[in-house]
Amino acid sequence: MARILVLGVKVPFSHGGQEVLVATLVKELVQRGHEADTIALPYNPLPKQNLVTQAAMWRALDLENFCGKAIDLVIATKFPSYYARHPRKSVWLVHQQRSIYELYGTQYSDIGDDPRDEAMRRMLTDGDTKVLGECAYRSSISKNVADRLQHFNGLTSEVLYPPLPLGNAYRCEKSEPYVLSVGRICRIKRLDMMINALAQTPGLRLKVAGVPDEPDAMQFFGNEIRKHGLESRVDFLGRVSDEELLTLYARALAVFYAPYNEDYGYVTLEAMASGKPIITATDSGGTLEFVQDGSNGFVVEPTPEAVADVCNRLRADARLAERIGTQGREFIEQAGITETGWDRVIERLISPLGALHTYQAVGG
Amino acid sequence: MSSSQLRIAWFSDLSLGRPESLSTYCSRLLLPELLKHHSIEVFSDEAANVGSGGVFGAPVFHYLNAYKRHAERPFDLFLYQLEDSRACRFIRGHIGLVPGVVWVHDLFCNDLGPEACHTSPWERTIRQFFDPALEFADRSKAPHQLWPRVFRESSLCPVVLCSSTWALHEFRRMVSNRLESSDGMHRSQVVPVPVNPRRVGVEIERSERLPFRIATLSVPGIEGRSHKILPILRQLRADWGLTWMLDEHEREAALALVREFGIDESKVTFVTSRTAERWSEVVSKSDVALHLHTSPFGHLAPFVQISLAHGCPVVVARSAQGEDFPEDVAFRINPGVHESSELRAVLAELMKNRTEGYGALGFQYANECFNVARIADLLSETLVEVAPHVSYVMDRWHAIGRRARAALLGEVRALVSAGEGDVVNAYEKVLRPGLIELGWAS
Repeated sequence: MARILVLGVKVPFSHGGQEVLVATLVKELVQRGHEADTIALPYNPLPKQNLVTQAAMWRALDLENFCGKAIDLVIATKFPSYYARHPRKSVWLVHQQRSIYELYGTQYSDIGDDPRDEAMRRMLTDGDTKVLGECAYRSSISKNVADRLQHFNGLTSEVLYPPLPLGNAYRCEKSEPYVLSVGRICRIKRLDMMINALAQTPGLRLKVAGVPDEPDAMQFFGNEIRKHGLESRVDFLGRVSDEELLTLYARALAVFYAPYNEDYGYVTLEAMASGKPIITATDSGGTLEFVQDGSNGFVVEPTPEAVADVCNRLRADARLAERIGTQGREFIEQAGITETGWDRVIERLISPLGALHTYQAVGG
Repeated sequence: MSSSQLRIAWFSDLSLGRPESLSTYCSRLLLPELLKHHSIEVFSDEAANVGSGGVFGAPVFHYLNAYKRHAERPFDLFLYQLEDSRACRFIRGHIGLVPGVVWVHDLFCNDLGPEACHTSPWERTIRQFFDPALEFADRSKAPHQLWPRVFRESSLCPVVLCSSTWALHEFRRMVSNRLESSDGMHRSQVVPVPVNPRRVGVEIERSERLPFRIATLSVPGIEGRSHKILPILRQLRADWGLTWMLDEHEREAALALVREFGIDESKVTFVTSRTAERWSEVVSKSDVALHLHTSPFGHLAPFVQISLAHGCPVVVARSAQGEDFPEDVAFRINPGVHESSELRAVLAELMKNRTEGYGALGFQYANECFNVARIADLLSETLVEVAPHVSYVMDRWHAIGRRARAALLGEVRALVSAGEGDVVNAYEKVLRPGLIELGWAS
């Protein structure tokens, strides 16, 4: 079998979908008999000039041999890991540096009008086109990410949805009066929308599983909570274990996940797999590839009023919550993104091995 | 039309799958005329959705290809149409890469990306253009601009065109420090939004019919003046009907106003596709067009021109862009205490004297000042005249780009090198080979 390195990035003290994806991919590769490991360099987008530094660092790595062992394939995931050089490079694109692309010019980007920023934006756009263009196989984790790559860099990629990280372990239990939010705590996830909605949904609680990964994020959300006197109705749980997470999903009334233009969003699918209604927004990007309003979840205008309206409806009508949750779970079972989905994902990701794969499998 | 042919990069939103934007409207009307004399390539972020035939007779490319196409065969100038829409973000970004001619349809950027406008160091950049020795801005001190106005977008272009006289005056009043051309002159002027005058048979049709048909295009908020219009309509004695153009999301609020003011709902027709084509249909069947929007944040173009061009009597507010239209072609109403009585008097006059042809002067004015051929001529001549000056600024701008790249790499070097005494110079030994290979350093 092949010797494969999965390339990821690591933001210290933070944990997001990319880390889950890399760890799960390595585990699944090993289970299929490959020798697989992770290369993760620390990622620090501050100061923003670091984006150039880190892209160049990845470019400087020699990943063809380690201690006399030839590496057959590298699988890159997220900016800037795909800057790594290897004759057989496969990419499963989680996302590019969004602040220079679709977030440029919005409140979510720190790339400004300074000529140095303009220069950096051009360098990284051209650089991405070059290094992603040299990949032997390109895939993206969602149609949204694939569309961006096509739009900004003129590169095609196959959509490979990541299967659920906890496989078939998701379960549904009797609902308790809380809405669950899962994920990194940062502004682009728009937790403030849910907090403001909470002020219009008496008796409902909000549980937040995840850790902040932005300076001042907790202060920002804390202000929103204090503004509405919601201190006793919001619980920040930090990073939780897998079993705790499964239980939180299982007992939630609904799951709120409405980031701005999300890449993919495990949370959407985890909520569905747990038989719970997902609440997302019309501008949430990748989540819309799965959620159909009123059928297997709710797609609302990105306003607290719209979110509150759904929450109040769910509280008042238990059968509605149950019906939407059931249909979400059915969707997951039919969509091929449970454990069985890994076979196809891995088959495609290692496709650059081709004949080499067979040769090594025989010759060891 | 000037005979000097230019090679023009035409940056515009194409509003595919959405109601037609003002930029698209202008492109649709003007490109066929301009293409008779100039070589034009359209750049858009929607290029992938355009067929091989291009748009409006011109080939279309993704905007990220503009640099490459410019390098292969230089454009004489880049023309940017800018309006307050998220769809124009790519244009705003590109202005920072290549200066050109900007045609400003909105001075305010609530949707375009106010965050970027608020924190733009454009004043520093302008000073650097004139003084190459000046350092780049201190990263730790973010600039702040109070209003999301298009200062940066317009000041970084050596030629500024505004769709309205009011906007041009505002721009000149607010921005004094700008890029300037080889002769040291600032160039700004009005290029109005064009229209296709169509009046055949309208006058006869309008003469006697009832109900008296009123068209209005306004938001259901204070600045749209519907709270002034609706009470007057309720008091009208003759039979009347109102066609109210607005956005779909405004319909509910508008309907609430209609009910609040006791208006018979059957007299009101909502039109929720706010496009030039739709408005043309509306005013061609109307006896008066009310354009009483008073906010300086919103433009009236091309809707007032379209009303005039259909020979429809027009009422505007004596405010912001409404003041662009002369007294003899449009009734001008003073917003405020006398607004209701003035509007009531105008409507009474128009209902009484419907054969007087109040729209005739407006039609002549629109035909003379805004017809497509006239505006295409004006734009063409302007571009031919300014092209050498734009070229001069583009050349000098490249120097800023090179200095910016060098400064950025200097910052990168500082980030990875602790000092001169480093045993291993990480920048030189580790990063620089990659930077060179990527084409980022030499």
